[in-house]
Amino acid sequence: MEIKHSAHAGTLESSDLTVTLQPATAGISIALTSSVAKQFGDQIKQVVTVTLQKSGIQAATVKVNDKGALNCTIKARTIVAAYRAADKTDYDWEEINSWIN
Amino acid sequence: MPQLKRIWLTINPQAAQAWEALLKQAGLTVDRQVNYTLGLFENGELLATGSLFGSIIKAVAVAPTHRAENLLTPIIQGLLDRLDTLQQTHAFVYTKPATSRYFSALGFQNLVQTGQISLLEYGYPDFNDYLSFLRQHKRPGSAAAIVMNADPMTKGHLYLIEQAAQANPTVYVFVLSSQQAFFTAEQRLAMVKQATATLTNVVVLPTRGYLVSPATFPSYFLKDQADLNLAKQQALVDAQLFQYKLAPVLQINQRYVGTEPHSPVTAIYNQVLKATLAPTLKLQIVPRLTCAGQVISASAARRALQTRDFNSLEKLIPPTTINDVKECYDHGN
Repeated sequence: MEIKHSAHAGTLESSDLTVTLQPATAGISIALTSSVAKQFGDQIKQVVTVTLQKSGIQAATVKVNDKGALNCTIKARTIVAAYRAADKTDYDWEEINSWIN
Repeated sequence: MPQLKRIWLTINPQAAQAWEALLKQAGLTVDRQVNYTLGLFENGELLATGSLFGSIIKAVAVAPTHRAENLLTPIIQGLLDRLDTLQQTHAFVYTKPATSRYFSALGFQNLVQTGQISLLEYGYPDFNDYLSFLRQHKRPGSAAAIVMNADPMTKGHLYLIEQAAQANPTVYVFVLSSQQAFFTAEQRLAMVKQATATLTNVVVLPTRGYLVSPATFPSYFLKDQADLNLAKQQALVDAQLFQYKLAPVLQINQRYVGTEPHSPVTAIYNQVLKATLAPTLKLQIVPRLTCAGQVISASAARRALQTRDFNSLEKLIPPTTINDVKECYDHGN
């Protein structure tokens, strides 16, 4: 998948996060805001990066505003943001299920 | 569990009354310049509220008895969802410095903070994207800047631009992007570009909300509601944004403004702007262009348009844009 335009997913509620994707020329760069950044910042970035790569995205500018989300939520929000940014609505669940866990 | 509901202020007087009471309880002045309002209700009681005016989040209040229940999040989320359905991915909020941290915690980024006002933004494209946009239009060397609404572009605006263009290597003209005007932001930007097409050292740019327009400047959270104080507070926010964020990117060292002989509000605005910009930036106050003893103003041009007084209009509007102004007006009505 390729990011065609900016898109976001998620909410500001506790235990959720917002993931915003913007087009970039090369590499995945993540700006993270989280009250638990010190404890879990690296892990959150790692989950977002891997999820994007598994979705076939190699380049993106990412903004993550985390409200204490679990890994499953981070993955779900990242996938939705990626599909929205790529203008894709046909979720390939089999393919996603093969790597999501 | 409190329920989130839309409040129709204009058609539901009972709800509007509860809304006004909550705002007053929270120490805010009631500001009805809003076009979308949400409320959190429990057993018929209004616990929290927030409104939108364009993409500006306004009049946010939580009942003092229901603080620390995380009622701000659903209100703000509801407002952002509303903007989402309008395909608006960006919002501003003006608030008191003491409450700005609640918005920071929700992911809002601080743009400016003065003694009494904080301006924050949320979403994308954001201020950094705007600065990249400005860098793309940067001309080498130092420059002057003018901020205008140009609603519509008059001979007075053109005169001010020409004065600056003669004295400076480059002039950046910022046209306010607010939609609370007679002509749309796009129409106004096009008018200024067309009228200045022959001036090769003039670059016309949109403000995208990053310079403060008096039409959208919310002031309901300020205690002193006198016009002169509001003008002063707005000038402080405007001056800080301009001086610390925009001017360095474009190497702007002078800003031009016109005098407003009949308006004490504009006079105080210019005075505060001048004091705040000094010493890094120089404010050049240029006397207004007059025509047969009358100052040329956009409001006079709007009056002439409304009464279809095209003789007066021709005296006020540059010949390059007069047809466009008439056409835009006729299409809009």
